[in-house]
Amino acid sequence: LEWIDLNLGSKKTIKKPNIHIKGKETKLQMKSIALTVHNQAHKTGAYVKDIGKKNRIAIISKSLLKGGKSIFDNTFYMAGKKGEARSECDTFFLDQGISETQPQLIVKNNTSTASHEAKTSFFDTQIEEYLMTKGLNREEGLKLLSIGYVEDELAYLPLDIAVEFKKLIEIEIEGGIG
Amino acid sequence: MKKRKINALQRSLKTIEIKHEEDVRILFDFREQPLQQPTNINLTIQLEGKNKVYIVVIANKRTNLSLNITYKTSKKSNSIINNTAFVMDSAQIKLHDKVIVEQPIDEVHLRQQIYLYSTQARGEAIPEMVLKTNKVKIATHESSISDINEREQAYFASKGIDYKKLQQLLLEDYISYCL
Repeated sequence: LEWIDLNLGSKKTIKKPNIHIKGKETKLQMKSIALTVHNQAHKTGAYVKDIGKKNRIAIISKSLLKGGKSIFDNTFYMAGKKGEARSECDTFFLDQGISETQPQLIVKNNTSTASHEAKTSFFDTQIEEYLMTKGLNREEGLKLLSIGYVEDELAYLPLDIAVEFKKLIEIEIEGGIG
Repeated sequence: MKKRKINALQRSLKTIEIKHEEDVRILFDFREQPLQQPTNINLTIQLEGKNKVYIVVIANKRTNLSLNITYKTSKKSNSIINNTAFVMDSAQIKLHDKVIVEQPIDEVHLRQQIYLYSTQARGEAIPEMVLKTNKVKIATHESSISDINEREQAYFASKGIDYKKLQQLLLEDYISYCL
């Protein structure tokens, strides 16, 4: 199963699909991209329950933050045999904002493993000065870095949706919506 | 860096203040006195300046422990937090570490690791991080729950160290490294 979701626009978004895996040697990959601006609040993640055998689960979340609040809320419940689950949460602060990461890993036996890692990047004056030397102003730099940040995930989307999403990111960063 | 060891089995322990250039090691060892009832321990740690925190939890028999620790960072702090639990027999451990960053800081890194040493051992990890400012240089966290992996077990078996002995060695070595 492969799942990609793009979250932007509305004031409050809560997305936490409930996935139960009963099969054998199943692969689940879930990618989530969120852009939070102004006073928006985004809560993304998943609840994954593994009761099968030798399943591989990967949850990847990328958030761009330009004001507002972004929450990553993910739960792994590993009760199967030899299951492997990992989650990654990357946040990029384009400006002020609040970022919360609340993953929960529950492992019910010692044959399964679960892991989580998260990192945060910041658009600071050093990056801004570097971009200025290349002839880009702050807004152009923000657009360039935001699109570059989610480019890998957008490669999995159909071309027309990826192009539309890139345009929407640009408009949101300019402050064109809302 | 100044070292401080804390034996945390005292129930009265609620708040710990960690100052600049301090290296604090906190040990929760329930091997000699396993808990008879599900227990919650809540702790607040105030971090100041550059410091390192190592927390080691060792639980066996029917110990059921929920360890909730809140870390509050102060201005320009630079902290590395390491929380490791060894779960044996039918023990259950829940580690909930919450890092709150409200003021500009240099760096914060949280690492949680739970080793499940038996098929009946249960582990739960919640590495929570709240960032309320964008004036932070580095903020990361990671967490994992697992047993010693099969490749390592096979390597040590080839050296004549069986699984039980390997578990014991890893535990003793980690305690001597941290404490």
